[in-house]
Amino acid sequence: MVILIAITSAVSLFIGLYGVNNLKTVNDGMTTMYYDRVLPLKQLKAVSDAYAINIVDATHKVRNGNISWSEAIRSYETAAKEVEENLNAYAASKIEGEEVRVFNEAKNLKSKSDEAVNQMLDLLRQGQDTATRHKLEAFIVNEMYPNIDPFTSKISELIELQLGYAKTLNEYGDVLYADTRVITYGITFVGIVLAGVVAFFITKSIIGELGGEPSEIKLIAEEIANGNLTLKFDTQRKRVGIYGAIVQLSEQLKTIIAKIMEGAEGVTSASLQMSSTSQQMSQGSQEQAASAEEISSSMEQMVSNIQQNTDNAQQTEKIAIKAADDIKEGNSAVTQAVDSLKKIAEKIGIIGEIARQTNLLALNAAVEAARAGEHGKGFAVVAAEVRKLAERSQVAAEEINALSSSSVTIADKSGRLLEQIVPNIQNTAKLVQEIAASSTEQNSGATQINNAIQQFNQVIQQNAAGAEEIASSSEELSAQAESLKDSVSFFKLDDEHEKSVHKTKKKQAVNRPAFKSAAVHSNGKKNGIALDMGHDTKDTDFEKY
Amino acid sequence: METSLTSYLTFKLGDETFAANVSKVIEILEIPKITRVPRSPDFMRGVVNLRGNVLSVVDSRIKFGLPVTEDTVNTCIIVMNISLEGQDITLGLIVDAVKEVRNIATDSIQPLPEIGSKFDAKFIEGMVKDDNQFIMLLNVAALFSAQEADILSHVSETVEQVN
Repeated sequence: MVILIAITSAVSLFIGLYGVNNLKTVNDGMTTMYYDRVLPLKQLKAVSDAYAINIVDATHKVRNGNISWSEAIRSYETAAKEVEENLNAYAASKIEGEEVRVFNEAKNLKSKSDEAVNQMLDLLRQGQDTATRHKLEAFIVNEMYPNIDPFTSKISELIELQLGYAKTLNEYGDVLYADTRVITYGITFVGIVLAGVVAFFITKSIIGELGGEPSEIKLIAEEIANGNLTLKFDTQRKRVGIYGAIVQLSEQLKTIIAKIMEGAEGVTSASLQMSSTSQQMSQGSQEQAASAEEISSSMEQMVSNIQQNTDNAQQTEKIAIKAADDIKEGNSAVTQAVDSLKKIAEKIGIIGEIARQTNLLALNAAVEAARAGEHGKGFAVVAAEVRKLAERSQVAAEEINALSSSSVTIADKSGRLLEQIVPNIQNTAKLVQEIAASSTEQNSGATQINNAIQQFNQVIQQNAAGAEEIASSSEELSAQAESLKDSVSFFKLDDEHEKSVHKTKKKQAVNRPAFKSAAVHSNGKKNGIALDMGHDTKDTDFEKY
Repeated sequence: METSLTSYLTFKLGDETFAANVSKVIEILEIPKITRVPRSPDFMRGVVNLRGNVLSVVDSRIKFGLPVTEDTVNTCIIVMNISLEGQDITLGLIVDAVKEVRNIATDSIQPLPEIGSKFDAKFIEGMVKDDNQFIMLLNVAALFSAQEADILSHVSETVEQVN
């Protein structure tokens, strides 16, 4: 096929090139005809005319007296000028073959002719008298014509030569035309045959590629373009080429459109579900926000409690320090008391000593009285009484001594106890101070927690807003899906595909109310979302008390 | 038999209460500074200055065979006048405590049991029941042998001469 097309093209190219080449040859011939033959013809004719009119005719007129001599001179000069110009122009043109020889002869003859003309001019300039007229007449007859005629005949010969050349060129053109016609006809015929063969093969190939009649394929394509996908195709027929492709396109389109419809349905339901879920989420977020507020207020309560604790702890610390000081004072009082008691004991010892000495004195007195016999009897009684008193004083002193020493012991003990209490109270003060510091830290911690909760709250509200945005976006998405379905419904599907789409529609129609009811259910609730934590085995590790 | 009352000075020695006839007692002293006399018997504590006179002081605990203890505030010296071998000797008897002068009826005095007495019976004249214990009536003169009496009087005299 390609070879055929190439050959056909080559033939056309050859015809074109051959024709153009021959035309060029003809054109060159025409150019030669004009520049080398017609223009020289004109120039030679001008030369011939100049001789015929301005010289020969003027000479006749001068002989006959029809013109003045001065007019003749002007005519002669004009002729000379004209002849010179045209011969120069001719000499510049292409001169070849026979022409060269004739032209050289003509140039030789021209010098004679020019001489004759110049002599004529000399005679004419001598003036118009009878003698001169005779001489002129004699010259014209004897000299001038014999000298001019050969030149003019040579010019005529040159003209003839030009005509001959032109005729040769013309004949060559005729031959070229005949040859070209034959060759072009022949080759054109071959080209037509080849083109026919090529066209046959091309048509055959195109029909094969189409796989059916173009009109049939056009009909199918128009139906598809109009959205009619319900076309039935002969299953027995071989599906090849564009027919096969278009049948496949129709079937694939059916499947794809069905899938798109299904997908659009799916998107619609999913977006509705998404909308309800995000609304739920939004509500949940709002509840979270409320909870966060509650936590925040609880935290503030806690902060004030902590503050109170701090104040109390500081107060307690002050009290403890004061108690420690008081106890120190009490301890020194006890020490003083112990000292006083010791002093009392000393004094009592003195009293005891006095009593003992008194006892001794009384005894001595009693001894004296006893030795005095009857006379000392009264004195003996007194001495005995004094001794008894002294003895009682002594006993009392001893008792006081025992009491004071036990008091000292007790006071010492209480002093020691108080001394022990002081560091305890100081420790207590320190601990209370630490409690106060801890409370302050707790306070700042609680404040931080509160701030965190506020941020948390903001985030929750942002989430709520985001959820609402999602809800509106999903509604938009649903609308888009509906619009997509409308667009796709341009295509009419056969029953089988329609059924499958309706099936999914029904399925979604069943699902949709469930989401709505769930949404309503969650809306009806006020206190957050009940979380079903389930009963996993981990719970059984804990005991209830 | 007619009941007569005799005055006795009672004093403590260890746990026991003794009594000495007041007629023999001159006075009762607190323990003053006692000057030890070299090469004197163990029972003799030393001599004291009693208003310019030298008084030999006997530790009755040693003499009675009781363990020697430290003196207390109640420890006293009973200055007595006894007659030994026909010479009057004034001596001081260190006792744990002096109690009182009391009258004792002579018929209440009981003899010392022969057996079971831990003291040498020769210087106990008798016993008197007092409340729930006995008071032993001391025969001071019987405490010292003739040799001891010599030493005592000699010491007093010697010291007196020195003075």
